Formats: sequence, C-alpha cells, structure tokens
Amino acid sequence: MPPTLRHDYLSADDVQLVVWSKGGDTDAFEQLVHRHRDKIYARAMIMMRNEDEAMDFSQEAWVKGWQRLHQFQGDSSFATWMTRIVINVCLDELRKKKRMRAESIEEMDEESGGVERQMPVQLTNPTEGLESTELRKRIDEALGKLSEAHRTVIMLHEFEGLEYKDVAKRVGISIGTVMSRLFYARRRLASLLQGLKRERIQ
Amino acid sequence: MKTNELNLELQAWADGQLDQLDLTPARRAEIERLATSDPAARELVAGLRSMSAVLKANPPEYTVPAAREFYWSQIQRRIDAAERAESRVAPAPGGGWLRWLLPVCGLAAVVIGLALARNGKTLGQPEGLADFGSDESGAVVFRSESEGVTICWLD
Repeated sequence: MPPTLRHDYLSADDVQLVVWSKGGDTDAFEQLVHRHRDKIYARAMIMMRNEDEAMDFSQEAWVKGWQRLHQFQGDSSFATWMTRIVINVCLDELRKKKRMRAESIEEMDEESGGVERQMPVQLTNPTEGLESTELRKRIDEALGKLSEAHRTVIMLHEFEGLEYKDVAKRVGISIGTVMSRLFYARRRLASLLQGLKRERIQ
Repeated sequence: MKTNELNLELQAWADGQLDQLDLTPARRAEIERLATSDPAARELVAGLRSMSAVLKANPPEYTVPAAREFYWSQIQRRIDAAERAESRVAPAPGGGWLRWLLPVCGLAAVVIGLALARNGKTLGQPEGLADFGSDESGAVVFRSESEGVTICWLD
C-alpha cells in the first residue's frame, strides 16, 4: 500500500483492523498481533507449560488466523476468535504427543474415587488476602501441577467460559468426563492454593 | 452427599449447567432442593463457586518474551513461506483438464492394445509383449495364445 493511503492503525478498533487485514493489509494485521499477542501467548503457555512451545504455537495460531480471516464473521470478538485458534493448535499438538491419555496418577485417582478420600469436601476461599499479581502467579503454579487433561478443561470452562457440551466437543470427551475432570481439578486447585495459604501464614 | 455422582450434579447446578444433563424432573428437583437447603451441599456449592470466581477473575498472565518486531517478523516469515508453498502446489491454468489427459491416454492405449492383441495384430508379435503408449504413460500387453491369457501393465 502506498504511504499516502496508510491507515491510522493505532486508533482503529479491532473490527476496522480486521476489515483492512481481510483486504491483504499486513500492517493492520500486525497491529492486531501486537494488541493481542500476550493473551494468545498466555493461553499457549497455560496449556503447554513450555516457553519455546508457547512461542511456536502462538505464532502458528497467528499464521492460521491470517489464513482464515475470511472465515471470521464477527460473531465473537477477534481476541476470542484468535484464542480459540491457539487453543486448537495446542490441543492438536497435545493429541499428537498423546499426552492427553488418562495415564497420570491424578487421573487414576479420579477414576477410582481417590479424590473423595484425599480432599476435603469444604472449599473455603484459599486465596483470601492475596493481591492480584501474587494470586495469578499462585494460580498458574497450581495449574502447572495439574495434568494437561485437567488443565485444559479448567481453561476452556473457567477462562474461556465454554459450556460443558462445548468443552466436551472441543476436547473430544463425554460431558460426564468434563464434569469429573472439572470437579477434580477445582478441588485439587483449592487444595494446592490452601497449601500456599498455610505457607504464607507460617 | 454420599456419591460422587451427586457431587458432580451439584457442581453442574452451581455452574448453571444442570439442563445439559439427562435428568428426570424429580432428580432435578432433588438436586435443586439439596443445593439450597442441605448444609453440606450448600457448602460444596459455595466452595465450587468461590473457586470458579477466583479462577475467572485471575487467569494467569504472560508476556511474549520477544520484542514486537522480532515476534512479528517470525510470523510474517511463516505467512510468506505458507503462501509460497501454496502457490507452488496450485494447479497451472488449464491444469484441470490436463490433469485428466494422461490417465485417459494411458487407458486408451491399453484398450487399443487389448483389441489388437485379441485380433492377433500385435505388430508381428503373435505371442509375447507389445508396447503401447508414450514415454509418460506406457502400456505393455502380454498375450499368450497357447495359454489363452492377456496381461496388461500400465506405468
């Protein structure tokens, strides 16, 4: 595009940037990447727990986003649409690695009812008194201790706001398994955060 | 609350997802009654909702560990590479019918070969090999009158 026709990318909203991007304007798309890259990268980090993979898959997601821009109809925000793409990229990768199989001790406990025996029924607020930055860090640490299967369900339901049936569809499991994984993951997180709270008090 | 199933149903109630489960109206009413009046069930629901609210409000945050220009340059390089690869595999103009030409020619050669072999007109080779077709799509016919067998190879 000649310099005289360049748009004001900084002040344009996402909808306008998408329109320009659909017309082949890579500068507009670069602005979208700049605006949302941290969120997209964060989703990849939460799922993969590895900086190199998160970089790789977040960039792959942006490439797919560019290639599929014509499919974006604006039913959701652009950031939400991109978030779903990066989650799909990560899910595909996890499937390839076959790391989603129920092979961890955590999942064995879940299946056998071990969760019921090991965890308190009560789920008091374990994060009370923590400031936001510290809390996010603690939550991330706790998420890192979950299996990928449990972390994925938590992310899709809690962070992306997907309903049970949509989580089931995305991951390729039954609604019953979604519920079971979600229940286990929440209690495990509560337990982990409770432990952190005790550490702070001591 | 004695069963894991009940806990999961209470969780679904806490998440507003009870309608996604295949429950009888009586069971649904029972879950709702427990969730609002049974002390242990209420405590579980409150705990699940509290955990959920904390997570929703505090998703972990990360910053891309690379400068804006570097991160974008890598994406742009991938986009360019993908577009180049796509243009390489894209069919040439007219490729639609050209793609069908070779197999059709090959098949025609085989049919002609078979017809000639059956009529004993295989270019002076009453029994044996006859070669039909071009360099790109060769067809070889073996005809044995004594055995009453005709075999075709299509390259």
